[in-house]
Amino acid sequence: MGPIRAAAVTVAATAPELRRRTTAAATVRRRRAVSDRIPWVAIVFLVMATVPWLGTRYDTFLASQIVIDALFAVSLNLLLGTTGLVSFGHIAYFGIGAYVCGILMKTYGVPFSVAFPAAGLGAALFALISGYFCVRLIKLYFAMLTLAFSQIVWAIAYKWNAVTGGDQGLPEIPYPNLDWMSAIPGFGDLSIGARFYLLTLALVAVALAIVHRIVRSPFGRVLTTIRDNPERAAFLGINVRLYQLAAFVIAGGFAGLAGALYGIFSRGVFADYVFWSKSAEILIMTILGGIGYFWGPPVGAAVLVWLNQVITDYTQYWSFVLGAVLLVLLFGFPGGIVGGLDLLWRRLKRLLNA
Amino acid sequence: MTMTHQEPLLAIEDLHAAYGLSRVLFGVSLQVDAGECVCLLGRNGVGKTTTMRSVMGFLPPTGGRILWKGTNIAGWSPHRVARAGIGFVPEDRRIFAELTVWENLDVAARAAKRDGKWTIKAVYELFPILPELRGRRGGFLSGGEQQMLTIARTLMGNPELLLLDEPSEGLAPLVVEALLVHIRALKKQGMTILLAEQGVDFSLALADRVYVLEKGTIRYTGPAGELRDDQKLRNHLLSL
Repeated sequence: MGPIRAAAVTVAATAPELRRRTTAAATVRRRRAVSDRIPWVAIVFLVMATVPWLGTRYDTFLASQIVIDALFAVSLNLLLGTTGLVSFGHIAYFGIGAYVCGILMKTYGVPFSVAFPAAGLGAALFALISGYFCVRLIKLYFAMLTLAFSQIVWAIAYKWNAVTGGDQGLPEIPYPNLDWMSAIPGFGDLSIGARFYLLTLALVAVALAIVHRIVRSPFGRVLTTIRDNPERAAFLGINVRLYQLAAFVIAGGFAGLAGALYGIFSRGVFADYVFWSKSAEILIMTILGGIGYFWGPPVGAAVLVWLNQVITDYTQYWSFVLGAVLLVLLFGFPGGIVGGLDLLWRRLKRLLNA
Repeated sequence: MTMTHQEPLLAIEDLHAAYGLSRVLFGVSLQVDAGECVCLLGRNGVGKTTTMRSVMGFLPPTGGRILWKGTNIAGWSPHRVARAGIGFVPEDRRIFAELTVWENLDVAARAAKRDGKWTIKAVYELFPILPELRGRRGGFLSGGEQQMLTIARTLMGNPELLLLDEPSEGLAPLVVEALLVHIRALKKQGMTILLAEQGVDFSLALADRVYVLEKGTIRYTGPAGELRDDQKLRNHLLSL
């Protein structure tokens, strides 16, 4: 993990630069017409939904991880790509969500239908408190303070034995009761893990739809103006800090929901999950996919989870390969994978039209 | 007291401002009455932009008062100043490049939260080129179009005072001409304007009164007509 961390810091530090370089590409993207008519998103979700039947157990395991990371990365991109805030501590909200949901379900026997939203609210609440201080600082200082808060969360998770299980963590978090799924034709033979994957997929789909709606709303446009130029936004009468805080809280809440799903998926919550290097991993995913695109981060999540798998089959120098991939991508396609595909698609179209 | 003296809309009293250790303004005093077009004339670096940025709250003054309708707004945050009714058209006239013309205007209207006569329809009437461009991204506009959009965007906040920082800078002569017509139309509609300019012809064509700024202090103040007619005085003050 060591080299990944180092790479992540370098990558994150150049994020605003990257943002500027991708702006032009993103502008053109909105004028695209043909590819918009194909319901890519619906197709991908449908394909993902067939994994428990068509794939192996291991495929379902990987798909779960991708889907959860996709939501986590999208929540980060609400800060990074939409509002222009670089957070080094986004894992804290993911972790709080995982702990809140895990503790409620395991220690108090609260049903998932209550614990899941509670995880989002808990993470959002902590984002409100920490964000209140963070948005008072700018740029690198903002990033460093988010990192500081995330380390505080890690320290609490690591030391507060009575509640978080400390070093030992919280193993054996129960699955939610999904017996009702047996009533659905074709679901009868599915394992609980596969059922939870399908539940995760559905919940993440809804969450992504909501974030998408937020980004494209007038509220989202105000966030875009702040990213573009906070000063200019302020003299239009926009309370910049208030909007930044709102974005921070929303991003924290959705990260918390992703964390809640992850705790159950991985059958336990451990202090390790909240360690700051995880923030770097999610930053890499987001940038790899393309921060100028709503669907960039999910693509980044899928590619990174998959690459991790493929590469570790061949070599133990996974971080070396990852570093090389990132290097090529950052220089070759500053708009990330989706930015690169977008560019390719437009070139192809021009070629066909000519 | 037989005559009721009307309070100036904006009164700056003995304003001092500095960027870190380097002091820029040394006791600037000026006032703008409702309905007036007042011009701050002066060369590059004499403190015109700094004066405007201080009013907007981007640079809290180190001394003096900024009275907006009698209330001292020195040190207010920019969004509060904007919501109080002061609209700022900055010198870099950068629009939000990723938003369309319409979105630029819409965001501004929502941000300022001030009702008034300026609606999208009204600014489209003032700048007839904008409705044609409504779906275009700000980044794809020409310099002149961007300047019009910036002014239109500021109007969407329904300001009572418009601060225009070097509106003619970097624009082709023909475009400047068109801009002049638009600003005159605004003035005729009763908009109060404080203009910062280097271009003598541009500002004298618009202003009722002129303040000449030099090295952070007011060097001269008087009606624009005086400066317009007196070539000698003009050369003496501005040595352009």
